[in-house]
Amino acid sequence: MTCNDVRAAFLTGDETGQFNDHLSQCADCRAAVPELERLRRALADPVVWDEPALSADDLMVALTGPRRSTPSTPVHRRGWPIGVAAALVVVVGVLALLLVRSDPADWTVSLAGAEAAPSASGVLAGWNVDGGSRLVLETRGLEPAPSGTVYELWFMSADEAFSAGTFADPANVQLMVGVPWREYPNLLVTLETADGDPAPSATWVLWNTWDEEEA
Amino acid sequence: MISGRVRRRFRSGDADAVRAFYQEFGRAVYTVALGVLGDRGLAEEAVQTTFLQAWQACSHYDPDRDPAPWLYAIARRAAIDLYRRERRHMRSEDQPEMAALPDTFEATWEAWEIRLSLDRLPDEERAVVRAIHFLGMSHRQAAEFLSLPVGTIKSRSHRAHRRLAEMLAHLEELSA
Repeated sequence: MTCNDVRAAFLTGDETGQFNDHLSQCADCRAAVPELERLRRALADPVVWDEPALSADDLMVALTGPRRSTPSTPVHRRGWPIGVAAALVVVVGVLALLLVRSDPADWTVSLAGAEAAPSASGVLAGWNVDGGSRLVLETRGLEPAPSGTVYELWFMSADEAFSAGTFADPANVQLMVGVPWREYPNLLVTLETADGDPAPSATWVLWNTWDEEEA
Repeated sequence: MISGRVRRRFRSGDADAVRAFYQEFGRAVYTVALGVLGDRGLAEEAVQTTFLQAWQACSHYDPDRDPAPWLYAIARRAAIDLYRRERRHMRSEDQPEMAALPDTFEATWEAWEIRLSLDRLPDEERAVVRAIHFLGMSHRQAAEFLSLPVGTIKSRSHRAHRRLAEMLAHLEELSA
């Protein structure tokens, strides 16, 4: 086992007997342990995984507007095209970012494709914060919502449904919900039109396959 | 990685080279800004300011040098300036929450380096690292999530973390 193998194993949390044997004989690797621990924590920090919404095209449009000595008006304050704006995450704010710990998710739930997207799947990860959970939804096989519609994530119990927010681009979904997952264990993603109906639509996209009869 | 040819074109103010710089460094600039400002909208604004200032100062850039530290310095300054602007605004509204730079500020260089390293991993390895660290998945969960055999996840994870350990080794030296 080389030093780099040992350090890679440490970063993954795979601290086996071989790892400890190496560490007991290698002063350099022993000295690196505190920094590797810090690095491991930093790799779980949501900040290093967050994606800017600004594309290279958006940037160039913003920069090649009227050239001034001060920066051009930011794209997001001019009002983005609806498609870009809709792709933005709906609810995460300053508070959530500051409250989230640099830890792996507190819980994860696998989601399966429902009738409207049978080949799709997803994983919902939650970080417990004051007043609820910060959520990251990772999806596979789910296309962006068609024009005029959005996806909506619901936390449901037998008799209540709480919306955790809407999104149009399933590639970058971060939301907040103010109810604990354990009390609302049935998770559902629906496709919604702007019909003003506060209840989940009948177009189910993803769910965590609860027993419908029991629920 | 940015080639010497693109660096020279950037120095001459070529818009396509600015675009290439954004594609290489834009996410790392955003990471620094988000770490300082804690707000996505402000972070996006800092990103634009950074690239505008870099473009305006392109004649001062030495194309024989790695542009990363130069861009980091501009990004850091842009984020601080925005932070101060927002702090003044908040003070005027009697909201003292932004009275000092947040603790995360000191970690911005490390976050910049980590983000650049993550962006330089092959996509399939980065997906595994994201599943393990960000989503807190075990190898088995990551295998299920990414629809890959567990053995593939383990080998990709090992390769990715080995690369990360190599790319980020200088952080150990800095902190020693």
